[in-house]
Amino acid sequence: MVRTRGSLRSDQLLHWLAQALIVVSPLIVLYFLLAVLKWVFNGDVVFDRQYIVTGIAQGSVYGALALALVLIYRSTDVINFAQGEMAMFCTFISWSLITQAHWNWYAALVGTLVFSAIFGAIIQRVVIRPIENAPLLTVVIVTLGLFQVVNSLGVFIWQTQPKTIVAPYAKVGTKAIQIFGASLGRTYVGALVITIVVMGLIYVFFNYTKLGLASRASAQNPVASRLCGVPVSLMLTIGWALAAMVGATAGVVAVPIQGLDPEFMQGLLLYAFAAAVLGGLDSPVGAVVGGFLIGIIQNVVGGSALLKDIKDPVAFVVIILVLVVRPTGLLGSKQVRKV
Amino acid sequence: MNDVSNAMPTSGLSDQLLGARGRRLAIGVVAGLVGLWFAYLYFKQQPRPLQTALILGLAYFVLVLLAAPRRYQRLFGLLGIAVFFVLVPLFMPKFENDILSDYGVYILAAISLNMLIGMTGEISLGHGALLAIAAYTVGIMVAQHQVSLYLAILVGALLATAVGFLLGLPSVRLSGPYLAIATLGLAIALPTLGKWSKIDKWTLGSQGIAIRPKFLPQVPEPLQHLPHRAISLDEYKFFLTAALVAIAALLVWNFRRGRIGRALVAVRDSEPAAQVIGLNLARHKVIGFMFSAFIAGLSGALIAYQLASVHPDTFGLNLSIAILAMIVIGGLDSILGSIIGAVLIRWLTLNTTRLPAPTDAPLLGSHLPDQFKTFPTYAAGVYYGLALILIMIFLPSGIAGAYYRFVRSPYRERLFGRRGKAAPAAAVDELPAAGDSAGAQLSPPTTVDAPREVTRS
Repeated sequence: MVRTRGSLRSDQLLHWLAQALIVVSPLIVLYFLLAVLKWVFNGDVVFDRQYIVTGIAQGSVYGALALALVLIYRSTDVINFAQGEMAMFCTFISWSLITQAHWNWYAALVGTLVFSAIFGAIIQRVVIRPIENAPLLTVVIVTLGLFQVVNSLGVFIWQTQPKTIVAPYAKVGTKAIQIFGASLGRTYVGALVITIVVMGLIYVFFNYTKLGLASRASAQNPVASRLCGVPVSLMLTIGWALAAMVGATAGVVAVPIQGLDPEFMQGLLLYAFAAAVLGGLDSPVGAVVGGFLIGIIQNVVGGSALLKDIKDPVAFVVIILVLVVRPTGLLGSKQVRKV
Repeated sequence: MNDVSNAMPTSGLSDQLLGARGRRLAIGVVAGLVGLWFAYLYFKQQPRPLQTALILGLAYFVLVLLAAPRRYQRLFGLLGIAVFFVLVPLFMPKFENDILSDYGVYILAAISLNMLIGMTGEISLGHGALLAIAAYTVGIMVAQHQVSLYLAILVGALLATAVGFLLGLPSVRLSGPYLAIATLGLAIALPTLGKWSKIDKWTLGSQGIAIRPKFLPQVPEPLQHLPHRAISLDEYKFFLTAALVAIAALLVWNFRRGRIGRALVAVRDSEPAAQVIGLNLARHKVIGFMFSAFIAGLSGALIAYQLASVHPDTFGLNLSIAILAMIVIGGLDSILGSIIGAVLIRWLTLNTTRLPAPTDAPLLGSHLPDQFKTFPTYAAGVYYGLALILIMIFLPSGIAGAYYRFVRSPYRERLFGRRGKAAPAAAVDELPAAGDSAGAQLSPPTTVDAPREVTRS
């Protein structure tokens, strides 16, 4: 991210305008697409503001998970297919803390974050470290193996019956909040607020702390940072721990919305991938923006009677479309291929 | 032609952890433990006829490997496989034959994915989708329109080929992680698509299609009047599967050695180099996808036939990862690897209840809570997920790769005193040494003759 100080120049303004246009372009495309669909299916699909508000709230969860993916991809070049399952595991830890150890919800959230940091760090040290410079196929297969192990362990320990956690911000009897002429349930409000706080903390960490600076440096140029005295491998471990924490947050706030079972992260992971790809795999801001966009798209599509039960395939279609039309995503940087 | 080891590091990875000797030791220890564990499982409970047969077959192959001269090994091996597959089903009860057919189906799926990932290097995590297309085709055609099963299998495989073509198109533009993400999306999204209410007129939604037995083919007339005993339906099912597996394996083997196969390997190993020698990348990638999809279609169609039902949840992400585990554990770019991996993973999956649960563990086990006592059906995932990680770190060419390395390694010759290629080495020795340096380059035949990579003649 290049930041120039001083007065605002007109080319910079143009640049921002272009970026903004790029960011909203999927919505414009969606709008026209929906207009066509509306015409074809006699008004079945609508672009209601309720969908947009709910979509943004729901999208914050996807954005958080996508942010976790992007953090790892940027620092270690690993697409972590196990991200969702790691989050699932941590969420179950929070469930155990709350219902079995009778912790306070917020205390359990903190406890889960601590656990997830340790969990992520251990996984990085034990599983990812040996394959750091391995070819892509190896990395993909190892993270998929991790996916399978963590998923099966989750089934093993917590069984498959769906569970639920009642969050304190969404106790029975609390009313939905009215916003922009749409009503937003408390579960959504809580998810939105908590994920935005976490994203803000991540932003502050990377931009205003020395540790964050060191992390960014080691992601951008490991060799040079090592020469400057940055402990690169420690930074990578910290990156994994952070990503696991962000993922765990996404899991914990998603539970009041959709319930908890060992498979609940698979759908979320798909949307998170769609968000990350849409925003650009190496852009944290893109991941968050992509999350909001995917949330909106999902809600608009889910609002139509025709497409209601195929929301997941729509996320897949988004992935394919983005990859074919603009592989770098909305805000990602261009990949240079070395030969 | 060099095998997977070119695309994947054989050393390097684990050398960082253990060093070459340590790795060899680790592999030996792990293999020994796995062997002991298998023996324990085998003797713990009443042996079943199929297990006895499988163990006898394994013993035969080890015997061939150790005792037969190298030039006859392939012959003996194939002969053994053929005899095994013709004789064994005739002596098995029905449910064992069904299990054998199940192995066959997954061998087909593994061969298909291995062709794609091992040979062309394209990563597909959504192979379950191709299986699903064919399975649904068979289900719909046979159960709802009473079409002949054989025709339905063919149509299903062709439809899967068409979908493979569509999947292959983006693969031309996408590379590496992006293709993996896209296909993963397909794998996760697919079960939902099968439950779409707008098409449940055909797919019957989450209920799935059940094929009534009367629509499935009977044993053909000639086989019912064999001299000694008639072929039963389950045996016929197995032979049909085995025949398709054999045909697919032959096709892939031949394809790998042919022009397009070699071109695909060239594309896998280095795209720029392949482009330089004038290969059309797009065309070859799409061909690879289509061929792989055809075999995947056969496999999916047979799944529908054997289960006599089609259900969307069968073809989710778990199936795709299981197939991936098969080929990685068995060995990439190797038909033998596909077979070994498929049998191993299916054996694990079918025998989860017989696997030791964590409470059986020697010291800690008795202190674990009760919920660890029962083994849920797909907790086999713990085992093969771990196997995926360990194999990728310690043995990237899989079991088949290790096997080939052992067969061609000097250890074997040292153990059994048989030198495979003594003649050229002797010829080198007899040459008048033009200079010490040249002699030093040529003289130790083992360094020339002991390829680290798997080589195929």
